[in-house]
Amino acid sequence: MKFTQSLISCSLLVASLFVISWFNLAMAVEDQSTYLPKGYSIETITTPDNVRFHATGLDINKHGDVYVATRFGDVWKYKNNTWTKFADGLHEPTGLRCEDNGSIIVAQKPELTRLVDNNNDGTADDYIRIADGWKFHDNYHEFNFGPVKDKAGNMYGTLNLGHGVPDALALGAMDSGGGYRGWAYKISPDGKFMPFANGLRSPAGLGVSPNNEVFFTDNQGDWVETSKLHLLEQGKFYGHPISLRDDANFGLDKVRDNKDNFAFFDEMREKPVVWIPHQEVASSPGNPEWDVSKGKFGPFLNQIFIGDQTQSNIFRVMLDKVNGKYQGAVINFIDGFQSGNIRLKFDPKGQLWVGQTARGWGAKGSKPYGLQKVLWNGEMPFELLDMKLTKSGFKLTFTQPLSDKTVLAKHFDVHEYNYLYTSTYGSNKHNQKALAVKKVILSKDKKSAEIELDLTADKIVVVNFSQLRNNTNDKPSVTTVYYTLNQLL
Amino acid sequence: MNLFIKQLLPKLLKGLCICLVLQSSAALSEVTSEGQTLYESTCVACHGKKLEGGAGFNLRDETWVHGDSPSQIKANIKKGFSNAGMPAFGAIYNDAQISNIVDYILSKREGLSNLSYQIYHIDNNGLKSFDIIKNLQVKKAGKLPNNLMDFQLPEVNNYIIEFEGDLYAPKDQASHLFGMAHRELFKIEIDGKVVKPTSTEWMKLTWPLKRGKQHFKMSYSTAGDVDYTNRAMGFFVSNNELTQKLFAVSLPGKQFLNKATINIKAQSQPLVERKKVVNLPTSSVSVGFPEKINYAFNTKSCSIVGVWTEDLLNVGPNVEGRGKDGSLILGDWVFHSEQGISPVYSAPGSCTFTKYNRVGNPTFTYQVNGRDFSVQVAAISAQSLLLTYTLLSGEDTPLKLDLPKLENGVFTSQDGQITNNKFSTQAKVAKAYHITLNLTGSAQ
Repeated sequence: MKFTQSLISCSLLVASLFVISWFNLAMAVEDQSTYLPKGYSIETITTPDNVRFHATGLDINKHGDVYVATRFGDVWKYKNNTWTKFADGLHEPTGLRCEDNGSIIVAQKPELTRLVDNNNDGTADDYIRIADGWKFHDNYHEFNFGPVKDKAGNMYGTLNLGHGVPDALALGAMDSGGGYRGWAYKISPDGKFMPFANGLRSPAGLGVSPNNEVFFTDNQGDWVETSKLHLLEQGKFYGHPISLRDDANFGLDKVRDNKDNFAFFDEMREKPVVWIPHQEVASSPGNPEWDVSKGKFGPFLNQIFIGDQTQSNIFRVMLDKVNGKYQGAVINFIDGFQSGNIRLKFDPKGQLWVGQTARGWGAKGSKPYGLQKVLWNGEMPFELLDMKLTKSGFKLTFTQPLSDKTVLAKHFDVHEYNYLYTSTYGSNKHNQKALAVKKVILSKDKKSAEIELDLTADKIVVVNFSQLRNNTNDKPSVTTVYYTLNQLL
Repeated sequence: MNLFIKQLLPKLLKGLCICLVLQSSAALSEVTSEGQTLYESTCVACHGKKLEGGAGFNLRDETWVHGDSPSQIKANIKKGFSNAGMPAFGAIYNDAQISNIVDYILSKREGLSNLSYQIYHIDNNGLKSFDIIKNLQVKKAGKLPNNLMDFQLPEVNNYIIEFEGDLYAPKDQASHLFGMAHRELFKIEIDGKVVKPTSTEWMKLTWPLKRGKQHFKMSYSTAGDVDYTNRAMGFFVSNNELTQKLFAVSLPGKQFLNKATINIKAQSQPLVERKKVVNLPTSSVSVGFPEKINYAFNTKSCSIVGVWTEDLLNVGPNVEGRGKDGSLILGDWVFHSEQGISPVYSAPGSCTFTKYNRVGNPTFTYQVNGRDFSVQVAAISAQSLLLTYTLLSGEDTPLKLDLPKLENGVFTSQDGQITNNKFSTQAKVAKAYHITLNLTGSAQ
């Protein structure tokens, strides 16, 4: 027989060990930033006690009320520094949207659902099916991301591929049991579900630009050389072939027949707006979030901010429209967050909220979940503001004038490379080559440096400018930028 | 005489043996049956119906603080632990009755026992084979009183470790050893014979086990590691379908299952949980009542696809780690799919789920054959559910439901006919049609 007191003692011992080991882990991994622009800080929001607050759905309504969907299945509301539970019992939601009519839409694995508080008691009464026109096989990896809404009232979501689904099609790590896994979908204002585009792998975040265009990220893995950001367009194919089993023009046999024909699928697929270098910038990016705060968040107006779940960081995307097509550059912004950054959202004050989780897929940050926000205090940082392609190279614009004496061609260390598209998990860098900067021209306001160099298309061009200084001898907090050169001017 | 000895005697002896075995089995069955009755009348309050523990210890796992021999267990039941609130049952039950309780408890035993280990050090570039053990010295060996394998015992990076002991696998179902590990180098021996793995997938290494007690040996070599250094590997015994980790046999496995135990219990109002659940189809929504009875509505079939007793769910397996496993019911099934309380469709796919409402008892609304219906289920008691179907709009129409065939429950209704496990009535708009499910015996 066993002994009750011993049981309690054992439980306490186990609990103590867990607390101690957790404490040690927390102490061992200090969540401190290694890059953080001047004027910016991270603030941690206290989440409800004893709640598994893996924040994978995040939106803020016009009143500034913050709504969070957790992977456990709750929806929480944060108002006046107080948390109240709005809904629960959902199936691992990974997206949330506040509607103008006060209802909340959640993307849970089996369904896109509208939550309505009919009697205004602060909790949802109706859990209304908006759409479930896809197959969910109860597989852990079959996330439903979204929704975002365009100005016409159409909503968009993305459906993750599966992993370990019985009898599924796999041409690499991920698989599809069919039913539009690996597709983006559109819901019309009258509620009609429409498969919209395919070739997606782990498309963990969507966003709508100020120009009413839908973008999404996808995570590095099989058939995805490195994480990337795409413009989402109807009928397009984005590179992971197993979703084509649900395409009427393909089907299972045609996909299988071409499983080693990488050139075939390469020819079909869309180029990303930006490649996001693996680990150097991100490994598991979340949703793109545009800074439309009109200066409340600093100088990076209309730029895209994206969090990364693995690297516990945020990076910026600077779009460049070349020959009518988007491409652009990525650069790290802030790291050292407490957990894995999967959701970003600006509030009306221009503060950037960050929903976090590290369950199942680890993060650099030491905490298993949480919610933080990034604040700007008005101090102008010295950072790279923008990067544009020119006919002879690039124009790099900074937030402050550059020190003349540091603006030398030799102070721009540039190289290029590209990736190899196959079914294998990620790609090494190929065709790496140093590029000589032949000339640098400083603009009259001294904020922009135009560098001249020989470029070729379909490369990632990496520019390191760690030798540049402003007039007070400050160095940018991040000095490497990665430009995705799909096209030359 | 020779003929008798050579041909008839063996047959007679064999028949005698079979009789003895059968008599012995029957006797053992009676013993454990009486033991079960006594356990469920007395011990269950503190140690749980499934011996899972509560105020008292878990009595089925690998941890036996006061010894696991029948004599030790018997002595402890007799004397009790007064300072822990356990009476001396020797004053209540006779010797044979306590023996029967002990036999019943041990019949449910799970996990490893008498576990020992041996560690060998190997070179950084050691051969990926266990054949090298014969040329290696044991660097460290000992017992593992917690009966859980721990791959972090060695204090070097490169090693072979062997674990050996007795494994108590389920007697009433086939099972597998399940390893949440990468494709490292393992060897499993059951009763002295090497067992081939049935799955070598990443994080899903499996080997078939025998039923009941068996001698178990696992060998693990770091020479199988390629670039993976996390040796906190979870090992479990799972059901044959690999959908449920029944219990842990390694320390990280135990920790994983402890974290993956999140019991959801309806306290004062019905709860709704939309999770993956073992034995329920995808897209099922589970509802639990404070009365300790539960059901699940499926949004793809518009059917009630399960009813079960006790508290709602342990959702831990579906929300811990990557959440690969299904949630577990906390009681016993009355029925689960393939059986269900199902609308009769005019055509496949003609069911469309609309919504559920959570004010009071949850109400599910759906469309079948072009008509809008709702179903609301109320708990009358732990043994009884009241199902209320309503045709919400349109014209009057037949309401037809297929009902499950139950050995432990009965459907009745004053509002329609129930024949051959089918309910039917002519439904009028806005009129409620009630069906009662009364449980009549112990669930499965």
